[in-house]
Amino acid sequence: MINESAIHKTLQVKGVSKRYGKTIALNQLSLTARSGEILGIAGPNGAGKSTLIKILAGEVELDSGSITINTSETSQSSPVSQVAVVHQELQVYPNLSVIDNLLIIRENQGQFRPKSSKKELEILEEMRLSKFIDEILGELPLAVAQRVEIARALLSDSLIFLFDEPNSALTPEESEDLFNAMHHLKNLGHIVLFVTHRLAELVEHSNRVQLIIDGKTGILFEGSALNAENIAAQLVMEESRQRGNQKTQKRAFESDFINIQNWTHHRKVFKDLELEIRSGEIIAIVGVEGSGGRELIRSLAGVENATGEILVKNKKVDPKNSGFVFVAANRDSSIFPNLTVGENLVIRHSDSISNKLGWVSGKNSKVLASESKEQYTIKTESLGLNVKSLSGGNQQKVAIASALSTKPVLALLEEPTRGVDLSSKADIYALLKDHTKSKSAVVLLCTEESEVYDVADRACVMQLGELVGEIDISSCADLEDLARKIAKFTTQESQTAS
Amino acid sequence: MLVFSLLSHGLFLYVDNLLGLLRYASSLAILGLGLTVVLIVGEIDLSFGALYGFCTTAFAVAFLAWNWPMWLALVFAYGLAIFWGAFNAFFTTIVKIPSFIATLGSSTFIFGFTLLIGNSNTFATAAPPLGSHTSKDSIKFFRAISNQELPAGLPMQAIWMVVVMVIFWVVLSRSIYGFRIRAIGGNKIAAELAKLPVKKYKFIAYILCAITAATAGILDFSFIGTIQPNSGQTFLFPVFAAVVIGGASLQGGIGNVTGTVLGALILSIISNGLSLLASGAFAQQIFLGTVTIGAVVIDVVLRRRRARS
Repeated sequence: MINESAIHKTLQVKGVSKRYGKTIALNQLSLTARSGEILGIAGPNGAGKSTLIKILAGEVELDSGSITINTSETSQSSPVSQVAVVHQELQVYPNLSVIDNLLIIRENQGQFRPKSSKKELEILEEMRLSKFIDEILGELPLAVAQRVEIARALLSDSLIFLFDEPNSALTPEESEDLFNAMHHLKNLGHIVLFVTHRLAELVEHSNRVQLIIDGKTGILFEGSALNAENIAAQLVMEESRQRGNQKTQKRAFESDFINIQNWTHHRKVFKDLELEIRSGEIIAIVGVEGSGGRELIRSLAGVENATGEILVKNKKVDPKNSGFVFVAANRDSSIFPNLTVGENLVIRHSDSISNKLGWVSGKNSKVLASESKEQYTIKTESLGLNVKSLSGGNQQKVAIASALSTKPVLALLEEPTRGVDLSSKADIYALLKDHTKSKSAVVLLCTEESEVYDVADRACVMQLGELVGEIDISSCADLEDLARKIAKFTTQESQTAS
Repeated sequence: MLVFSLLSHGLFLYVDNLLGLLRYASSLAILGLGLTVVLIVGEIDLSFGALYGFCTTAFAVAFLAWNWPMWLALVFAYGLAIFWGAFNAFFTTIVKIPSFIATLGSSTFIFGFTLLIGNSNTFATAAPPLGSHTSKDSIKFFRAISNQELPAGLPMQAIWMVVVMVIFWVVLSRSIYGFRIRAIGGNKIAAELAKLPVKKYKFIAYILCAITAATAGILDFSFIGTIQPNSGQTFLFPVFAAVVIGGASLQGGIGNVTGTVLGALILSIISNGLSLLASGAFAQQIFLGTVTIGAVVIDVVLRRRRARS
């Protein structure tokens, strides 16, 4: 069914630009992907990878530039119908069986109900789905559903396959199956693009890796230059050039503060983790999606279930009632959009703004809110404004301030500066450091090395549910050095795992 | 009001009419205040009409048929109100059924129990069931709760409405409960991540709503002197319309006491005016439907506009 393999085809992205309001997502981006190879795409968060994917998939219109599919003789603008995207949010029908998911796309060929033909069965065999043929898709694992999606794309003669963080929710075995499918597509002569934060996998499965930085084309890694450490170093170098990174100086901490023992997530994302958190310390849990880092932070905060022991100064505490605070990365999950700035700042307080009967003292709330506003450098004309009227960076500061102002012994934050402007970023790092001066600690979930370098004292690298390494930030020569160390830990682990 | 006065050739302005209107508005407002709390916390309650009938019938049975003292019958009725409120909250917060369905179901369920407990009877204070020996004095005392002469012929129910309004005003604008339910309704996920007592506060909201339903029902019973099992059902849409006109958002986080009370007044003025003008019930129904959908559309449009800005 595939005869393209005979003809060499390329996907040519030429000078593509895309703006969202004031933000430039893609700036004259160009790249070439060839049939019969896997092109990896790497870049820091916000570099424009997802915009590129959306444009290729036809979800977003490009402002300028061109996307063409070229063969030796012809050149045509890329039809969206030839592009299939494989990621976690699937476009399958969970209530139908595997085979019906394939048949549903068939045009009516005069049959009352389409019957499976040889073609469907062959593709199911290729994707190793034959044994699931009559099972309801919703009851099968995500990994199977992804392969069904690929099978369906094959049936509709898709030429280009975009794998966007496809395995972040899969187990190692399931990932292996998915990668086999990916290589199979490559061997059939399709054009395969692969986007992932996991550098080790990117390097292992890609023939070439194209870097995208700030919406522009970066370095293309191929041959011997194609290794995880090189890519990691390049990723951070670009960023540190833009802004002078400030490494945390070595500081003194007190031990016997918080100890986590036998910590096991209820979905077994991680098992029997041990972690010591010293007083005054900022720890960065470094881990991509699916590493278990997010689950670790959330379970310590008591918003996801886990078993094990949390000892604060050698006393056992209940995670549901520990007084630890949590701030989610996404402001949609941390800001109350119907409340004012002042109300958002005091919402987590109870005793300090109300008496025993539960009557709120307006005066105490106002005092507390204006203190927080000063302490956490929130820029607002008035505390009575709706919180949504603030800039993104200031909203993020409000979310963090509302948590830190309750003076918790431990604050757990997910990617505290995601989508935040540079000056707010610096402010947030300063107020986190400030917070640890008062006999408390901070644990962050970080996905970007520059954040780890700027704010943390110690990085704990997490991979596949294990804490695979620790890095003392003050011992790192520079950001590049840190990035290489992190990359080394993650590649070692994935090699031993696979 | 002017329009209705002119169109009805002054009929609208008759004192009796205005006072009757105020009494109806009081019932709407008391019911509406409970519903307002549930809407603020981000849920919905469709069972308050059934609860009105159930709690009042339970009271009537205990008071008239079982010959309990009035205070005990009241404790019984309110105790059951709390039970049903917690029942609704259990299915919405613990079992996690959408509250629309949970309370739609419980309203039928509760209506069934109303028929059971009252043996499908209508109760009247003037004609207690056979075998009743509730004293004339205590019946008189009960009727006096909301059916007595006040200066200028003001309905007693309006006074009770003011009492309920003040209590709700204090709770919603001066208590940590009132503060936090706005946060919970505004962003449930953020409230859970900040470990606000989301479930507990939803329980309280449903219980408050059930208590206002019992209060409105018992006050109406005291005024009218009869209670039918399905008495409360006709309140469902008027109360919803009143609350939404009053500015409460069906999407949670927004609502206030004065808005709801004003909504109840506006709604009863218009619906009273319509009933004086039109010959059939159709105008009322069309009006209620229009108002309910119209108010919700405005709510949705406003929210979208806010989200965009």
